[in-house]
Amino acid sequence: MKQLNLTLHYHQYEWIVQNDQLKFKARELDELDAKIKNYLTQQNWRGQVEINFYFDFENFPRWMRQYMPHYFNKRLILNL
Amino acid sequence: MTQHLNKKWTQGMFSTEDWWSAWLGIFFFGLGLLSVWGLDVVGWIAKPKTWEWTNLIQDFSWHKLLKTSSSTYHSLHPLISLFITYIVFAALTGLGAYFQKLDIKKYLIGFTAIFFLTWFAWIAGHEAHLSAINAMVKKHNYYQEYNLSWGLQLGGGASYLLALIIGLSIGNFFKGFAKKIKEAAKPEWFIKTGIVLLGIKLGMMTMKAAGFTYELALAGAAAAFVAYLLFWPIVYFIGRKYFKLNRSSAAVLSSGISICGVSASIATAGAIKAKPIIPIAVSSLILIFAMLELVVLPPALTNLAPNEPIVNGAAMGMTVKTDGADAAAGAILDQLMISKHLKQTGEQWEEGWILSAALLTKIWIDIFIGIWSFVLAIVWIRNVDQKTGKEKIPKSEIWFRLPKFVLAYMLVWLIYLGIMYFFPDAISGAKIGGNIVQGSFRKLMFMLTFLSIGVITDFSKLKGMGRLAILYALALFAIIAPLAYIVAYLFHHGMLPPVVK
Repeated sequence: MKQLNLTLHYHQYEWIVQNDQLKFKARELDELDAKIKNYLTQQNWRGQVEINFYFDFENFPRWMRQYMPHYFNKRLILNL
Repeated sequence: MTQHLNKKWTQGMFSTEDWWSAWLGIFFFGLGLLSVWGLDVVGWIAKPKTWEWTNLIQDFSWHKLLKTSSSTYHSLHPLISLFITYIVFAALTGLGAYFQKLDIKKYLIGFTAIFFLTWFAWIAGHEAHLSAINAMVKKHNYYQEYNLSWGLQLGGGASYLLALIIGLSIGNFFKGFAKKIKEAAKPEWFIKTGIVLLGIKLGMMTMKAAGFTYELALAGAAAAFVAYLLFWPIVYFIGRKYFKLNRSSAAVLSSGISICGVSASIATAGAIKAKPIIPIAVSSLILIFAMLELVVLPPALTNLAPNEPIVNGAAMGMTVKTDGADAAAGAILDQLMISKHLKQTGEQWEEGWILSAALLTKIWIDIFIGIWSFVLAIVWIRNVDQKTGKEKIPKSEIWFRLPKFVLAYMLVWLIYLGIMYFFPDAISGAKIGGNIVQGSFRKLMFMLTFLSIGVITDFSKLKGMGRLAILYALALFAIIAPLAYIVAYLFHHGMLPPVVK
């Protein structure tokens, strides 16, 4: 299974997902998933792909991090 | 921009307040434990004494205000003892601040201000007219020794309340100063460290009354579990049905109000992948209401149910949100109830049991939050989210959301249990250092919490919260508080702290 690791941010009402090569933005997470799926299909990725989203907790105000240091990580499995 | 990602299970071990509270707590605990081998390396820490202002003016001496925590260091001048205390705490928390990538210069300036304001409150709160109780306490009746004609008789609660008042005044009336010292105003970090040290107290309590301590821990777990099942669905239903909140806002607010405040709202929002703006908005609301609960509930419960100390403590643990506010409320309740009981009956309950009742329910709630969020995440993916592919929730999510300071608290408790069962000859040695660490060290962390929680509470943030604030107030005072009391009563009724002989 191929793997893709991405960092997830939230900035000005948009989810932003990126790594060194890719960057996608969308208002809803599901739109983001769809955009990634379209991109990978266009790039001729085939078979099962595991995509890991790691939320960047720097998006939270510093004072809030003492209460909980983690938001979420998400794993999406696509069959292309 | 630096990134704060949780990829491996070890991530955050040196960069989060949560882990640093575990490290600091274990370090202080380890220092205290050296007394098993006859080494006193903790007795230098300063502690306040009961004093009376006319007596002090007549013949001023720092020795009337402060002393070292053990006789090993009695030759130290009290100001040297205070200075060493400052250096040790500034250095160790500064080290933590460095690894957490805080602005170290701002942190040390802020910590210095918070530290000395805290000590001002701590010493002032020990003035006899505020604290002395007209009864024998540790072979003294300061009320009569100082020939007082009046007194508030608040016990140790006077210092806590004073620190809170100073903190709140800074946070709300001296906002420029609050901004300057905010880098070091870390109530959750300080209180979590204090709670780890309270594990020593729990260990000592177990040595003294094992059956009662286990009963308290189990009753706390059961009460917290029942509270989860009751509170969350009720608040969610009201939020959806009557306040027309969307699913995400209703879920985040339900967790914030009914579980453990800010940490629960972030955990829930993360589990259901809500936009971060929701927990950020809800968190401001939680902090302000937590402060109201902290001010209102301890005196209210002390006067409404003076004969149910453990029920009151457990109810507090389920009602007051955030660990900091709950521990602060528990500590005030502990002092107010002990003082009232002592005043009325001449009998003194042992310190720390009411506070432990408040904390044990909260700690169970904290432990459950990781599992609850995991369950919620599965429910949300299956029933609410749109699906582009197959989404899996990594099991590591439970670990990342588990509060690590709780592990340190349990570890400290277990080590004391180990000493009790396997090395009974070491008990008396362990108690010498343990008493100082769970006494002076722990109380200093609590006092720092009281002041800092006030500094970061800005009541003007309530403006514009509208229906969220109304729902919060309604749910908290009309549903959560009464239900929490009923649940606490069912599981803790009849439990009383041991009496000091």
